[in-house]
Amino acid sequence: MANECLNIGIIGAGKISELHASGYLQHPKARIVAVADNRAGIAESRAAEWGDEKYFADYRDMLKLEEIDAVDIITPHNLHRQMTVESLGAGKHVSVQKPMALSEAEYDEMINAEAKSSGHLRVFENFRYYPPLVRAKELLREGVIGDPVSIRIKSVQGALKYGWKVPTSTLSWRFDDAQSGGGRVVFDYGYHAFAIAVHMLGPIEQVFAWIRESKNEKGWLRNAPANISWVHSEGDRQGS
Amino acid sequence: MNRCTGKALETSPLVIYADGKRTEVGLDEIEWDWGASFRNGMFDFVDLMLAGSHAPLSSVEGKYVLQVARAAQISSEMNSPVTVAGIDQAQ
Repeated sequence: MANECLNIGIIGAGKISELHASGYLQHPKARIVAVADNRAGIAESRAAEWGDEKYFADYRDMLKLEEIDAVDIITPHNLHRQMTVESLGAGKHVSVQKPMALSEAEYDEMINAEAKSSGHLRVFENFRYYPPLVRAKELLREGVIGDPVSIRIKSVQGALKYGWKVPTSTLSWRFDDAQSGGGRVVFDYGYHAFAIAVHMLGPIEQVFAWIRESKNEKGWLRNAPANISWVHSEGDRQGS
Repeated sequence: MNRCTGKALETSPLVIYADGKRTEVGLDEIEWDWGASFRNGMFDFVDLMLAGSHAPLSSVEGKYVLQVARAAQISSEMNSPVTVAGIDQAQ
């Protein structure tokens, strides 16, 4: 790979891809050269929007492009394993949206594929890049609040008056366990909270949880309310 | 931390309580748009790949975080504490 510019191929051009592409388009040494989505019209329109040279309905065709250095996989979770393994097999670097897969066997297959590939595998979780959280981590590291003894993370599920607007149709798969892997709140969104807890206070040793089910305004089942507590491995630290 | 994906309070994104003092990191002092986390994450990926380095939250750490989520699910089903290190064997 010429180290002057990273050529990116995006697999999955749904709503969240807008934020990923925006980041690449702002980087002076990154270029989106192709996009793949099994909805051909979507791939074509994204290619036009992002200035891509090529678009594909089948990501395998995109992986044949030698000029692609890295791929960003932004598809439903049940597709991550296969797409990641094939991308690494094609020698590409991979950024795959969290959560990386649905089962232990799938994680291990992906990690093994990385070990055999010239490419690296990054699992992308965005909260740890959120500037206020980055600042909070810096303050912890600097000892501004001393040695932390606990972390408390509260997430509210409900109408999003101020946040990023996502069409309901693009969220539906997240409530299907077969595609999302086990619950919109604890497994999908909860991944952010657990990643931040580990990022801030270190590895987690033990977990206790009460998880109930309820329906959202669309009648879709979600694993909330949920009350989850944990003990970190070091420093008598706890979280919830 | 008072906001991320959305916001619940009309207050500073980050408030520090230390040594008996409350210090706000205000809206004009720090970028607080949730979308910035994506831009920063893409920048990090590009920079690290160009440098030939591994990215934070690499695959092994990604698996570990998922095991924490699995531990929560299993704990709720069993109504008992679950040790994260035992998740591999439990599957």
